[in-house]
Amino acid sequence: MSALAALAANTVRELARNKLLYVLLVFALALILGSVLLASLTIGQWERVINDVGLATVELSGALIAVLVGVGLLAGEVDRRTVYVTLAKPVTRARFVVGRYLGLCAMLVLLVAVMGGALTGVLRAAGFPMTFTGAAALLLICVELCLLAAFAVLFSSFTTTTLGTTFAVSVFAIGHMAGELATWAGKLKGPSASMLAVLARVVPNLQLLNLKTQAANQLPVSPGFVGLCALYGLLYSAVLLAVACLVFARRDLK
Amino acid sequence: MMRRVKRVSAAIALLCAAVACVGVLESARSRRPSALDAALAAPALPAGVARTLSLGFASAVADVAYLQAIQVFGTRTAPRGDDRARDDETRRRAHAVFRLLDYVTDLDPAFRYAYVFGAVAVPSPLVSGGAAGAEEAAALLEKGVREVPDDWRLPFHLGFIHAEYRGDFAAAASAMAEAGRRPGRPSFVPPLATRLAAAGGSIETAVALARAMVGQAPDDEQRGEYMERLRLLELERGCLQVEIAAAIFREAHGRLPARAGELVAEGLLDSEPPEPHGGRIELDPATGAARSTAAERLRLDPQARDRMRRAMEEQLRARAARARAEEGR
Repeated sequence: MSALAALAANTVRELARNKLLYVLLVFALALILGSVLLASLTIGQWERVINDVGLATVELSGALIAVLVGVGLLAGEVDRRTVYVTLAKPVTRARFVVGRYLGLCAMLVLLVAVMGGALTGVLRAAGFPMTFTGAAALLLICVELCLLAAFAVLFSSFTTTTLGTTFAVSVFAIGHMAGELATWAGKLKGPSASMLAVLARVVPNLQLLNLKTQAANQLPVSPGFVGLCALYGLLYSAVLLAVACLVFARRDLK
Repeated sequence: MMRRVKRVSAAIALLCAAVACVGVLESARSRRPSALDAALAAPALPAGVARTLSLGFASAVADVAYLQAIQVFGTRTAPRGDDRARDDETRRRAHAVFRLLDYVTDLDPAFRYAYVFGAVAVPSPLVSGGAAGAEEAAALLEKGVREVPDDWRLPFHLGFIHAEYRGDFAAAASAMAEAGRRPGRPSFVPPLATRLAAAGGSIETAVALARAMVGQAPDDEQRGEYMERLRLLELERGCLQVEIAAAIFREAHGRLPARAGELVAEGLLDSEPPEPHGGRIELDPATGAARSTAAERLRLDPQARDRMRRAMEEQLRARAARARAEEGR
């Protein structure tokens, strides 16, 4: 357990030195602050525009970090051959993968907390509260980012960073279309319908983790629903991580 | 020497390129479609496709289209004196704003303020009389009533549009009744529904409705729009009172009164009706038509004006009969 914590803490320290992360964070904070200007152009429901722009910025910048940093987490170590130094110590490959992943997740949660804090501050300054739905949307964005990071780690366990990034971005796109896939499956007939129906169930349903529209429209959501969605995302991530551990354990690192 | 020639040539070439750039830029600017034309051409993607391709950012895309609708609503390019061009622009603007708001609400059906904004921005009075966009505004609000079942303002606005622009008082009363059943509605809504059902088409009902709209307007801009509508309706009420009283006066005396004051002396009016813009209501002794010194009268649909006139005429004739009976006694 202590080896896991040390690996995670080391990953956080390593990521804290990553310039890409700071560039994206500054860009995101500027967009969140700028949402007030955009809101001033609208008529009525200022809080809607601030919430929409703010939450979209948190999700987009977080997804970019999760994918771009996540795919380098294993593949970069292998390319730089620094993985040998770590694996020479009494650390199993599975523990190495899980430790690196947990470090990335800790960094993602920290980033979402910083951006969420900025969004709450902007809302407060404009005279609006951060609603429960808004906070739930931020929480589910965290879960979505952990899920994307798990995909990035899985892809980086068997392929290059370029391919891993492409695959992870594709998962983000398909995951947000999972609902539509199910609808299209219902409209089609034959084997293509069955294939789509299976695909709709297998790909992660990222729309389930998307409460941005509800937050923008200040619609109520039940804590039970939020909890179930978060559980779905975390279980999915755990399965992906287990597969990543298996794949990385069998990978020839020579 | 050669070097100098080269430098001068390079400078001339640069200058020519800069002039050409400015020329191309100006030419492109002059050919660029106006915000209104751009809105009529947009949006390129159907809302269903845009929602799928937005990858979970549909409400942010809806915000962008909503901002575009606000920009189009504020576009005024037709010259003030050209009534035909202004009416044409009003019709096109109403249609463009409706299309954008319909798109916005297809992307995010729970975007309640888009419906409220549409209720104000889509139906637009024309200089030549009547209004553009009333049917489209009603369609947009009907969608809002379906999609946002807990907001009383949407059926309330729908009732206003049915009564004010479409002259369909049964539909207006039904929409007001729906507003009256929803949570959070103010206490004046249910009486308005019954009033519309019983006396739809009278100017008193129209004034009461406009006053209610002023009371519930969520921001200064909308409040200003409804305040002006209320002032114009009050002016119309005053002018109609003067014209009808003048017609009754002519039946009794065989001539039109020289001024509105004679109608008060005759007992046909309690006092000269006030002009809500701060001017005066004057009577033309040659035609019997009333006008304001401060504002233009509403250009109402002839059928709507006839309905209002008939409802008011009954009251004024009864009053004239009472005045004559008292005089005889």
